[in-house]
Amino acid sequence: MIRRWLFLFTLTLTCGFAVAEESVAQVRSVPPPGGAFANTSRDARTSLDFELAPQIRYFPQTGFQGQDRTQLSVSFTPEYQREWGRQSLRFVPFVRLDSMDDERTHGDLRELFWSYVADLWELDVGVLKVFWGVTEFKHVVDIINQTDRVENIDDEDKLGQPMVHLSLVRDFGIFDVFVLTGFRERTFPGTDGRLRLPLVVDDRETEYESGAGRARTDAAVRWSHLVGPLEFGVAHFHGTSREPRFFETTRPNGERVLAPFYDVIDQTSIDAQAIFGQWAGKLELYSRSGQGERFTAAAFGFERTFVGVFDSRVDLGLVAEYLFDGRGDDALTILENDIALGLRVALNDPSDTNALFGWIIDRKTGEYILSLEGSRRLGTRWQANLEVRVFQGAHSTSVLNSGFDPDNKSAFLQADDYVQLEIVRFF
Amino acid sequence: MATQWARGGGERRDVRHDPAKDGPRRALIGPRRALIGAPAFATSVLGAIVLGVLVLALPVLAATPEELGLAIAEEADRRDSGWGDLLVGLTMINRNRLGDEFVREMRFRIIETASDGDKSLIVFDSPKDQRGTALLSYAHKIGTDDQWLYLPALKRVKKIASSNRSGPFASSEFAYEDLTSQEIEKYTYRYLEDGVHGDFECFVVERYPVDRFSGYTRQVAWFDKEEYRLQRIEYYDRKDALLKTLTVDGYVQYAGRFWRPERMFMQNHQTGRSTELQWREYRFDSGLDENRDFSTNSLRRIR
Repeated sequence: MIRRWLFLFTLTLTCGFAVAEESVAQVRSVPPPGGAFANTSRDARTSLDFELAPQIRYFPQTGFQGQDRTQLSVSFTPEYQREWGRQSLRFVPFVRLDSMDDERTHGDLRELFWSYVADLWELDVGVLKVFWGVTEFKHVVDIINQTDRVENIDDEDKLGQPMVHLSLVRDFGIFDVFVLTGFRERTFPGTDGRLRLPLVVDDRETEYESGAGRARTDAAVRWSHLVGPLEFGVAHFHGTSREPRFFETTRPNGERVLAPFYDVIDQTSIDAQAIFGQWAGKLELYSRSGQGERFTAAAFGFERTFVGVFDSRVDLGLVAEYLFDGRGDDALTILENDIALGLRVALNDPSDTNALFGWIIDRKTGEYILSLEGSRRLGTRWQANLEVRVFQGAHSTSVLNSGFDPDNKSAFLQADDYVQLEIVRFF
Repeated sequence: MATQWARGGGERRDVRHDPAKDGPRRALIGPRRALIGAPAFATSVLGAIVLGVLVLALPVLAATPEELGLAIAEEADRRDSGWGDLLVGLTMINRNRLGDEFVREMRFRIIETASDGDKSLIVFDSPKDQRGTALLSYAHKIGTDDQWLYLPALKRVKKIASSNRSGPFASSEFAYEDLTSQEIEKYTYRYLEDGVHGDFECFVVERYPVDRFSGYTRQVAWFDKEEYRLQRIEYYDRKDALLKTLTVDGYVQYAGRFWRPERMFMQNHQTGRSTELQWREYRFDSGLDENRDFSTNSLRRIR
């Protein structure tokens, strides 16, 4: 109840800002003090920005476990950055308040790190985010940061990862070494949350293969290079898997829950992209051992760009990818034998309107997911983000039996079609 | 965009013109002008005979329009080589047919490379939702350029297809190909005539993009005779209709050698939209390093 009031209050506050500012009709923004290039290697520069984003999610159907249909939340992300000489400091905390799911009300230190850039190397120390990958629908090799799964199901929101990161830039590629000091547990929706498995994941039951648990120090190395039209990266990770396995267990009060178990794994991966004119071929592949038997997972496909279709300014992109996980029925993802087709639209208008339509089909069972992600600027300081996901094709009855049915992997999502609108206010 | 005038080094020619050593700067066009500085010679009979022979030989010495066009482009490039690295800020004002304005702020850093085209990195500062988005380009003399887009929300560096070059840059009236480093090798040339633009007497040169993904069949460029600076370009689309015109104003000389404009204006004649670029605070020689400041790592670092 309090959360609903908080959400409405925040919405009113941000709208109030909008009314006050737009009435002043600021057309030209002023260049930052200290000149356009205050952040050359000789000058100091500080910036502080904020994002406030109320979000509303609407589920047309009540959840299988009786969850509500309207989920209101608001997130707040300050961003502080200071650069002086070759050093910089960056601080980005994050917090979300959610009206429906206690687990989704959470905070995270997304970034807090110090960085030094020398001529031949650079060093980052602290909590930061590193992204690896080239594909659009499933980020297979992106392993460094833990997924903030309670934020969204597409694995694109990540928790901050503490590390020491050394990067060497040479003519024959970029070499990265990561010492990952400490482990972040994956977040999951709670009892009242949507887009979750029939049994709640209870992190009080978390167990680790490593005796050090969350304190374990993991490591990764990567070499990336550009040769003509081909850009590739080869990496190896050794440490606690970011992806847990689940065991069913019974709590003292008799409740059946899922207990996450984090194995220690070795994962060797390749990511590559080759661009020829309007075509881009993409590949992400890894081989992992230590989480059961050694297996391979991959995503590969292409993107074909159409610039200025029908003599307009609109750009289109066709995406086709095959998503594969060698564990098959035992995969920890529902995207284990799927074809993904996508259409990217960019209007190239003053509002930077763009959208990505997606259709992911399971080759074996015919289950599919339809998705739409779009965004557009409103005025000068606002942005609207729309997300729609529809889950179809599985038989919902098997969900009621708490077992997992490999022929209906997405059964648990069948009632969770949703529309999500987020309005971001930039300060 | 600044790099249009910031040429790649090519085979590193000795670009410094030292009047004490090389003598007065000779004009490239017009073989006859080279003889003006020899009046004593011309007054002698021998001189008259030599002059006569040379005049008769002019058709042999005169270049074809294609050679003249290339020579003009090469001279413009030669005069704008050796600037090393450059930092500059940009305010971009987009206007639609009704005069509604939309403003973007961004920063450029550009570096000349030893053997290929320029490398450039553009960072967007405003509007706020674009803050931190960045574009890294490696211009190549031969073949299509490499470009990467940095998406700050995902911390993702995404290499983008080179066919995008004909598409609008930041939804403005400038295409990507208008702003990337204009290497000589990217066009073939043909000298048309002498012309006038504003206060300047100019060479008018037609140029044809080599890249098949270009959005233009041809461009007509005005280079002023004084300093070989680009003053105006007319762009003809794939149907060979006049699409847009670029005018360049406010040239200021930096470091005693390099000319940079304060303002560029691109008018799209077919849609009525326009984009004005205001360049501010050019800074040369900031000690930028190719590996440190123009790698995909540098993309991630820029905020």
